[in-house]
Amino acid sequence: MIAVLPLILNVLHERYDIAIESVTPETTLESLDVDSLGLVELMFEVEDRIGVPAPKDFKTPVTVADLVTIVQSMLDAGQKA
Amino acid sequence: MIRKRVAVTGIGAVTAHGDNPHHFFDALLRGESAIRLFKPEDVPHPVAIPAGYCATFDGIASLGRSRANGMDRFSQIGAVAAQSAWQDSGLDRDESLPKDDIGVFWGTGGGGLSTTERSYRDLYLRDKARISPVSVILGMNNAAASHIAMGLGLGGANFTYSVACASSAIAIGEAFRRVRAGETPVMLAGGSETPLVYGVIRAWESLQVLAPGDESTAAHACRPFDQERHGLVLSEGAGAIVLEDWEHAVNRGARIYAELSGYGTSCDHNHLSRPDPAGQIRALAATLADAGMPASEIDYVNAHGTATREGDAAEITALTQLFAEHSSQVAISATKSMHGHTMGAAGVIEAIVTILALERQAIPPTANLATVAPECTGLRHIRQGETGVRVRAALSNSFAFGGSNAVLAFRQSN
Repeated sequence: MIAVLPLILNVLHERYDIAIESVTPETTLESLDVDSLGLVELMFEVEDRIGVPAPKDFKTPVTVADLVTIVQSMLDAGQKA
Repeated sequence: MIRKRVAVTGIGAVTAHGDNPHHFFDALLRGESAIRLFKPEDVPHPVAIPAGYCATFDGIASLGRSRANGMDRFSQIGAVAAQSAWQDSGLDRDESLPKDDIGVFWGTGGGGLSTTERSYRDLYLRDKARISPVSVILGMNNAAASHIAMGLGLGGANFTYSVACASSAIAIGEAFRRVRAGETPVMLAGGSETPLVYGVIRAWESLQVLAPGDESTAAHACRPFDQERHGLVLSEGAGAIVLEDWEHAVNRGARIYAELSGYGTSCDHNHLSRPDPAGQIRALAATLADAGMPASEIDYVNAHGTATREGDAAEITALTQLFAEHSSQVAISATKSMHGHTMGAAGVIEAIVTILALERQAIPPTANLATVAPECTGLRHIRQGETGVRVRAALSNSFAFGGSNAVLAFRQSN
């Protein structure tokens, strides 16, 4: 069982040098300076770490919690496969 | 036609010797090589070659994790060299500077080579169907110049010259023309190269021009002009210089290292890899004419001197024809013997050595030069660093594969 939130926080820290203690599920990606290209990059990194591809079309996440939902669904899909 | 004098008011470098250009020059004067056996524990096939690797460089520590992660290594070392040249010039504290007129001209042969290689590894070794979404913008040859402009807020022309081993000499020369013509009071110019990636190393090995060496001999593997020379040493490196309208520099009380007074170029137009002295002489003569300088004013030449059999001989032939009866009084050294061949960054790194030779009135040696080969005689080969010598003017040669030649002429500042 992979803990999704810590995984995302770790990627945010390692790629963007974001101080993760200040990040909550409600934090918006915009406030973290993660733009659309940054999101693609971030999803790419997550894919790499969990070994499951992102769905082709997902609703653009606004908050960290939205991101957790997407990654959790990727993990669930990966387990079914 | 406006013709301004052009001052060099800032220098910065990241080389295998470290990131301080003055300490770098001191080490060269002492004849100290930073070339070591480069032996990464690489997958799938290890390599071991003498190389100039910037072992102490830490992109994340210098630039911050977020900036560094958005850059290929060639951009990282370029950005650090540029930042240090800019600070050195003192222009970072000049509030009145028209920064939208100031451009960055950069040189690189290969650009983001590690990004390219990482992408191919993902595709072919890890069998991934997709590669990093930032591969394109990390790998492109003009990425370093753009990062430098963003970091320093410079809004003028931003060009990258890719002319193999003459890339950054040409970037400097073209920037020089802009300042001399009065188009802008300041330009930042230089280049960066990080060729120590597996595919690139193998490509150079295949060309059979790399100097051999092991753990104990690597430091002395590169022997320009020597009877026993066996080729070049691949190296990483970056350098940057600030070029400034002379009056602008004087008015703000800037430290002037030297005057950049001439620039000349030519193409051999007959072979991709075999240099032709006739083409080199045309570039050398064009440089002296551009500088309005008689050959007899040149006291030192920082040679292209890569330590290949053909290259060194061709360069000496060109120089002895140019200097004619003065040849034996002209000091020459090839500092690649100590920092290796930094490819697209070679022009600027060696320009910095030339500039410091003028500023310090000191000449670094060609290391490892035991016996001058008969085809390389005729000039005053420097084998031990010399201090307290007279250096009025000096040339820095860059003769690239493809037959593109570029020469820069510098004068002592006062």
